[in-house]
Amino acid sequence: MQMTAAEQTAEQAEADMKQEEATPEETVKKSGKRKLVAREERATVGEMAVENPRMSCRNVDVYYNFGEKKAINNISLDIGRNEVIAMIGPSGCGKSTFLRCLNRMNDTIEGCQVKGEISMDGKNIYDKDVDVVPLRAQVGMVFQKPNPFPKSIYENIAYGPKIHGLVQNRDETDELVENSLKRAGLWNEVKDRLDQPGTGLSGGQQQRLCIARTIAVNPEIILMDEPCSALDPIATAIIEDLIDELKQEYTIAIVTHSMQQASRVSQRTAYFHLGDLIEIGPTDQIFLNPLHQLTEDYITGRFG
Amino acid sequence: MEAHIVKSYDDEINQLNTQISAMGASCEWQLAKALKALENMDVRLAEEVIKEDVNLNALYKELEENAVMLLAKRTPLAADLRYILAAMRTGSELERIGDYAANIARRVTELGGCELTLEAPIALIQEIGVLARRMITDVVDAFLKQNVESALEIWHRDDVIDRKFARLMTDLRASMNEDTSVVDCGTLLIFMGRCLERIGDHITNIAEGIYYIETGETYIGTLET
Repeated sequence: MQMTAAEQTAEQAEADMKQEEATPEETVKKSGKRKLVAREERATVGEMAVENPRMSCRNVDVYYNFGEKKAINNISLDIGRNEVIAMIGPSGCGKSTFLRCLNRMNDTIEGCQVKGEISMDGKNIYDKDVDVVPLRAQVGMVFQKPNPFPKSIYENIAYGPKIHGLVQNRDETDELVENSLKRAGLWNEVKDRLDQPGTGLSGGQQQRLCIARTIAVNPEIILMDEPCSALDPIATAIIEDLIDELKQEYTIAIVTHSMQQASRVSQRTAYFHLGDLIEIGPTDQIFLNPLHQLTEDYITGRFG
Repeated sequence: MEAHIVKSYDDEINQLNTQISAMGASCEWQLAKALKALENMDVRLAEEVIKEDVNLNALYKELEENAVMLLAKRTPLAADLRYILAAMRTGSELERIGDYAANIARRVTELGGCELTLEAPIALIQEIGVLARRMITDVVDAFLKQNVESALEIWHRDDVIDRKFARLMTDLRASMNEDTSVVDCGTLLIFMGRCLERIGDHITNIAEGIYYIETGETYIGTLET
């Protein structure tokens, strides 16, 4: 059907209007004045999508207490391949809740409901036919407090691969244990005492043991929930160095209260506030020149 | 801008502002007195200006130390980080402006005897000087108030200084061709004009810093990009 001239003009005018709607960056350029997105505005600012994502979350809501409390609200966010994405925000903002959705850790909490879509390589991980055991091997997790099994260092690593059927015999297991400990940067420190309990290691070593244990089952994604908050600065630096190494092979999503840590290890940063994803963008931009007032308030330590 | 949760952080930032303000006042004083010394061929006043520059350099050192301490202690981010970087830069620009004012004063002590034949160029130098003085006051004020519009307006005033300096060069060249006996004095006046022209450039750098705090970007002379 042909459009009339009037319709065409109207359509053109609408297209022009759309073009004129400037992004915050453009507003800054045009006026010379920085205009942060107002505190009241809760729609996500920044580009949440990436090309060819490893994981893709769309309109995710999470409720606790059988729907009584909404913990996160309509979050859409892609997680790219071989990237480190950092989630920051004040306590109770939903960043850990969101992280735990990514390997269905929230399933273990009674009364927790997850709505929306979370897919990994195109497959919805909340589909009924998804088995969470292999899912959690594929999407491994490292917690705030190192939690080695009360077993030997060797067994801590070997246990996962054995139950997932990744190793057939002692030789294969030995090799995998050595390999995992090497990749976690712990091998040289423990190779002569593999039969000793994992709980006897220092905090930083225990955390690397947990990372080695996660790596051993051949994951694609590693979730880290404040992995360094119980560690001293040296152990923290070693873990951060390890994260730099690991991102060559894995995708890493890290929740951290340390903005310096987020700025050092990640390529993208997401800022959460009271259950909303407020801003997502390249880490450099978030920490030098954020677009949302709430992000700015938080990272500069101001009263909102 | 809202207050920081940690009050001493704001106190430290205010301290930087106070130091910038003091440096601005010292710079403006130096340039005013250097121009006065030129006007009255007052060698003693010129020497006072040269002495004041030592004071300005000390203020700058203090500012820089405080800024470095802030970076180390507070690990500032976003607007705070941009502010502290711009404050350091502003301090260093003001310090350079003081050097130029002192250089003008030094030339006054070397001048002498030819002010009558070169009355017109000297008047033009005074004109440029008045513009530069006002720009110093205004740009420091814009920095303290974080007034980006005012900063950009000041940035563009530098064009006037550049044009007047170009005229000064043409005039002095003509005078020196006409009467070779004024070459020595003429050269000193070119040097003074050049100092004022450089002062204008340093002021534009400060204005760019104010723009950077606000936008996180470098101002390139136009907003239509």
